[in-house]
Amino acid sequence: MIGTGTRMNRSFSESLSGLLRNFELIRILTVDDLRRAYTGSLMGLSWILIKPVLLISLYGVLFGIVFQVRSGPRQTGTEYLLVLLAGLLPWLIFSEAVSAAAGSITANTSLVTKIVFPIEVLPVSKVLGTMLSGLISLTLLVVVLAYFNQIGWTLMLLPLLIMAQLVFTIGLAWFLSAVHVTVRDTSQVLPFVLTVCMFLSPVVYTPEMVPKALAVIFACNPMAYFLEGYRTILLTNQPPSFLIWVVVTVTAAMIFLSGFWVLCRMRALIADFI
Amino acid sequence: MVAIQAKHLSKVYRWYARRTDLIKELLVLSRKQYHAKRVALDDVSFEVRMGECVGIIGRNGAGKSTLLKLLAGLSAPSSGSFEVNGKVASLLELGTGFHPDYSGVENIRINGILLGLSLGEIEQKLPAIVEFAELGEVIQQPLRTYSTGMQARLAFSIATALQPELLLIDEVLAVGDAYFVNKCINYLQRFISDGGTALVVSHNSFLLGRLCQKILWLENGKLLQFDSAQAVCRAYDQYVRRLESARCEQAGRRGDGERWGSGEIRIQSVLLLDRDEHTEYAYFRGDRMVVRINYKTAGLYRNPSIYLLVFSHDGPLVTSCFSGEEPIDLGVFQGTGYVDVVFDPLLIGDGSYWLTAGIFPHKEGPESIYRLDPYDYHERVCEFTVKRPNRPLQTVFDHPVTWSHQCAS
Repeated sequence: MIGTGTRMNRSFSESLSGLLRNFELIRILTVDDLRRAYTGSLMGLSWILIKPVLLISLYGVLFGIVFQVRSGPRQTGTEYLLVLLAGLLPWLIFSEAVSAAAGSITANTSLVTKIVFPIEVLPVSKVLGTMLSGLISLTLLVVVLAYFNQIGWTLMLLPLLIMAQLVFTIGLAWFLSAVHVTVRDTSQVLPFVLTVCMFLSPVVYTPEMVPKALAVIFACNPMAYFLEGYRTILLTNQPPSFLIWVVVTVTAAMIFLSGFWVLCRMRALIADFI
Repeated sequence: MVAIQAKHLSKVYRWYARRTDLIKELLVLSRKQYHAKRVALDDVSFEVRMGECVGIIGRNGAGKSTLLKLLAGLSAPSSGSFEVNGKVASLLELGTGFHPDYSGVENIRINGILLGLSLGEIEQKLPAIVEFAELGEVIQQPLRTYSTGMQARLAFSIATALQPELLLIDEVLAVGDAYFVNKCINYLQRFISDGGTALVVSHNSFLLGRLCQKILWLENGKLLQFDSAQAVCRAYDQYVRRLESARCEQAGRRGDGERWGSGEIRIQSVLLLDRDEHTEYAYFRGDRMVVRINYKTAGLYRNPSIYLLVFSHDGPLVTSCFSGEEPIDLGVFQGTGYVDVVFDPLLIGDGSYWLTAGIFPHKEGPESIYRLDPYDYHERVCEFTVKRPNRPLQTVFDHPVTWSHQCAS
C-alpha cells in the first residue's frame, strides 16, 4: 500500500478491475463455501447431486401424476412437467443464489472489520457456489430432454443465457448484501418478495396460460425474459427472439454495474456499521 | 524515511438510537441528522520513521484500535489524512476465517488467501509456517483438536509469512500462553532489527517498554504523549496507579462488604498509608504499606485482638495476620484511636486485593478465633492494588531470597 490509497477511497473503476484480479480468491472461496456447507454431513459434496434429483422427482410426481395440470390442449403430463422444469429450475437457481448471497457480507463480519479484504467477492462467491449446484440440476434436465429427443443445436446458446443470469444475479446480490448490513429486515422480507416474484413470473405456468391483460406484468419483469429464453432454447429448439437477448443483456449489465456502484458507495458505511 | 505520517486524524462514529434513524438519513434528502456522534479519535498527528517500533498505549476505549483500523485501511477517517509507505500487514485478530473442522494445513491455505497471499506463495511458505508454529505432524489434524496456544501460534505464523515492511498489531499478543508471547516478541525484535517498522497496541506498559523505542499514549481519543518508551511508560504507570488508587478509595468508602459483631469496639475506618503517611491504594511491590484501623469504643477494653485478611480479587486468601496469636500487648482501647499494621516491604505480587478487618475480645486460651464473637468484623473494608514494576511475569508472591556464588576455578 503506497501513498494514501486505502481500500476506502478506491474509485469505482479501480474496484471493478480489482474484481478480475481477485479471480483466484473468488474461486477458492466458492469451493471453500461449498465444502463448509457440507462438512460433517454423511454424503458430503454428493448432496449437490442428490438435491436436484430429489427435487426433479418430487415435481415429477406432484405435477405429472397428482395434479394433472396441463398448459395446453392435447398435452401429456410429461410434456407439462418439462415445461414446468424448464422454467422452475432457472428460477430456483436465481432465487437460491439471491437469498444465499444477501447475507454474505453480514455473515463475515471479521473479514470486513479485521482484515483488509475486498468485500465485493463475498456475494460473488456465494452466487457462484449456489449457481454451481443449480447448474447440475439444469444438466439433469438437459439429459431428460435428450431422452425425449428434444435437444438441438440451440443448446449452444444456453451458456450465454446462464452467463447473463449470473451477471444479473451478482448485481442483485451486491445490492442486497450491502443493504442487509444496514437493514437486517431484508432477511425477513426477501423470502416473501421472492415468492411473490415467482408467481409474478411465468414459472409454474406459461405466459399463454394467463389472460392477455396481464401480459404487461411480464413485459416489465426481467425474469420473465430469462425464463422465456430458457423455455425457447430447451423446449422449442429455436433461438430466443432478438428482443429477449436485448432485454436480458441490457438488464444484466445495468443491474451488475448499479449493484456494484451501490456496494462501492456503501463501503465506508458498511465498515463502520456492521 | 517516513513510514507513517498522520495529520490531524479524527474518527467520529455515528451512533443511531434506532435503525430507522439510519434509513431516514440515507433516504431523506434533507440535511437533518438523526445520529449522535461518538468521537473515537480526536485530531491525532504523529510520524513514525522506518525501522521504528512504536507502541500505542491507553486504557480501554482510548482509541487505540480505531487508530490502527484507520491506518490499516479498514475504516475511513472522518477528517485528517495519513500516509503509509511500504507493504502493510495488519494483525487485528488472529486466525480470521479459521474453520474448526479443517486441518491445520487447510486453515493455513484459507487464512493465507484471505490475508492476500496467492496459492503459490502459500505452498512455498508452508514448511516455514509449520515450523514457526511448532506443530509438526499435528498440522494434518482438525483445528478443533488444537489448544488455544497452538491455534494462536498457527495464526501468528501465517501472519509472519506475509513478510510485510510495516506491521500493525492489535493486542493479539494477549492471547496464548507465555511461551507464545515470548516467541512473538522474539520475532518482532528480529523483524525490527531487520529494518521492519511496527506499530503495536497494548495496555501492557511493560511489554511495550521492552519492545518499542517510542510510545504513543492515547486517552479519550486524544494524543496525550508521544515520547521515548521509558518516559511514556513511567508517566502511564503513574497515571494508572492514580486512577486505581482513586477507585479503591471509592470502593472502601462504599463499604459494601458484610459486617457483624457486638459493636462494643467499632471499626470507624480503615485507611492505607504509604511511606509519607498519605492515603494510597495502589502500591508497587516492595513499597511500605500501613493499614490504619481507626476505632471507637463504648468502654475500656484490654488488649483486644486485631484480625486482618488479604484476599485476592479472584478469590484466594493471600495472607492474614492475627495479633491474638502473637506475643504482643496492644494495651488499653478507650474512646477513639488507631492501630497500625505495617507491611514493609510489601511482598505480594501483581493484582487487586480486598482487605477484611476484625476486632475480637482478648484471646485467653488456645481456642480458634472462630469460636469468639467479634466486637466488629468488616468484610472487604477496603481494596488496593499491587503492581510489580519492571518485570515481565506476574507473580503471586515474591519470595525473599539470598544469593551466593562460588567460582570453582
